[in-house]
Order: sequence, then structure tokens, then C-alpha cells
Amino acid sequence: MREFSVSAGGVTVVGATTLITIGAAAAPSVNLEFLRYWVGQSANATSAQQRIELATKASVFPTVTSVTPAKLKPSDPNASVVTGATTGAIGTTGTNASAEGAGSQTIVWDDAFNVLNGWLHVPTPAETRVIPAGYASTYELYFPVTPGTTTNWAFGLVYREV
Amino acid sequence: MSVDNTALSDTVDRNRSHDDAHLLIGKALGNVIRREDPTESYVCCPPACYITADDGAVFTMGFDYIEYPHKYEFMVLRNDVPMGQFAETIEYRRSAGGSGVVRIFGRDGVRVFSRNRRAFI
Repeated sequence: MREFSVSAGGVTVVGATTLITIGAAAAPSVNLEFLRYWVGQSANATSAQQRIELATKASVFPTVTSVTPAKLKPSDPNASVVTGATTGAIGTTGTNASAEGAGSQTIVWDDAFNVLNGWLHVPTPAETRVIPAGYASTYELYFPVTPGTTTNWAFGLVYREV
Repeated sequence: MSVDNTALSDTVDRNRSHDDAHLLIGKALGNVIRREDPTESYVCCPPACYITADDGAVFTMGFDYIEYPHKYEFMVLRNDVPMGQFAETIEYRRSAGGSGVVRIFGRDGVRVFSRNRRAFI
């Protein structure tokens, strides 16, 4: 199995924001199975609740900061089929959208957490979500509302290629 | 004199993770975590991402994992240092006015973080 992480830290979000967008590569290719997601704030003194969503998004995609998926097995000679890009398009990934795309969004998971504790979502194996190769929409970790404190956010996800 | 907390936290003794009497500093998933108070009692990771113990050390789940039928166990990290234990849940529990205890729950039962802050037993 090849596992990869996409993450960012010390991020200032601008409002209701796509934290991470990731899309499977065009078929034929591997599928992406998502093992965990996390969101936290590295410095905060104010207890507050924050909503978080997992969603799929059809074109038009958001504009994001390009991030190359990091190998969890550093000696693996192969990079992920997903590459970093600012376009948020299929087969790419990025973080902290500066502009939300106009594409329609479909919520697949809605949750909330205390910002002092952060949010770690680990679906049990039967509940993991799989984005198949060639899927027309991207997959998103999304803040549906602006957090009370917009600075110092850290977030990420881990997926494996299956 | 100003103090660069980020630089200070990189060199701080992790067994005593304060840089002053008011701020708790730990590390989790590559980020320096600053808190004014330990985590509240009975908070569990997951779904919480961070457990801030009395000394400021931050417990969270690492990326190494074991997959069992219908569940995962992840490597427990303390300030991003693997503790050599896989667990399904980390729990922080504090008695009223007393010190807190970090427990981990896994396939082989419950383990408690030692008072000398070295290992789960």
C-alpha cells in the first residue's frame, strides 16, 4: 500500500474556505481511499465550536495553494498519482482556497468540533470514502462558516492508493 | 527581553514543556501547539485531534497504523515522538483540582501514561 498525506500549518483562512481539495487521477489509474482527516489550531486561548464538512465539488474548482502529497514511506520510489496544483482540478491537490470555485458542492459529512481540541476523523475501514479514478468531482475538506479566530490553522488528510 | 516562543519550544525539555508559568507548549503533527489550559476531562482522541496534558505535552495519533477488521489502531505520539504503542483512542481524565491521567485504549486493553512521563504501562 502507498499512503500519502496532504497537510498545511500556520494557515490564516479568509472565511468559509476549502481547506483541502483533492481529485483522483483520470482512469485508468488507482483509486484514493481516505484514512483520516484532521483540523486543529496551533495557538488559541478561546474555546469555540467550529463546523467542518467533507464534500465533493464539480467543476468549476477552487483556486488553492499547491501542495505535493508527502509519502508516508519516504523510501518509496514512486510519487503519488496526485500532483500539486493551484487549479484544484482533477488529479491534483492543494490547500487553503483563495477563491471558491462556482462548481456545485455536495456535502458527504457534516461535523463540528471545539477549536481547542481540534478534530480528528478516522473512519473505520467500512466507512472510509473512496474516490475512484476518473471521478469527475474533487473531494474537499471544507469550513462552511468562518471560524472565530482565523489564524494558525493546521489541517490535513491521509489517503492511500488502492 | 522578548522571547521567541517558537525557537524556544524547539529546545525546551519535553518533560517540562512550559516556557513560562502560563503557557503550555507542545508539538503535534509538525505544528507547535500553544494552550493556556490542559484539555478538559474525558476528552478523547479521536474525535479530538489534540490532548494537552498537565505539562503541556500534546498527545495525538501518528500515521503508522495497524488495520484490524472494522477498526484501525494508530501509533500514539507525544510531542510528535512515537511512544511505541498503538491505540484506538487516547483519553485524558482529570480529577477535580488534581492532576490528569492520559489513558490509551486498544485491542489489548487499557494502558496509562506513567507518572515519570516515559512510557505507557
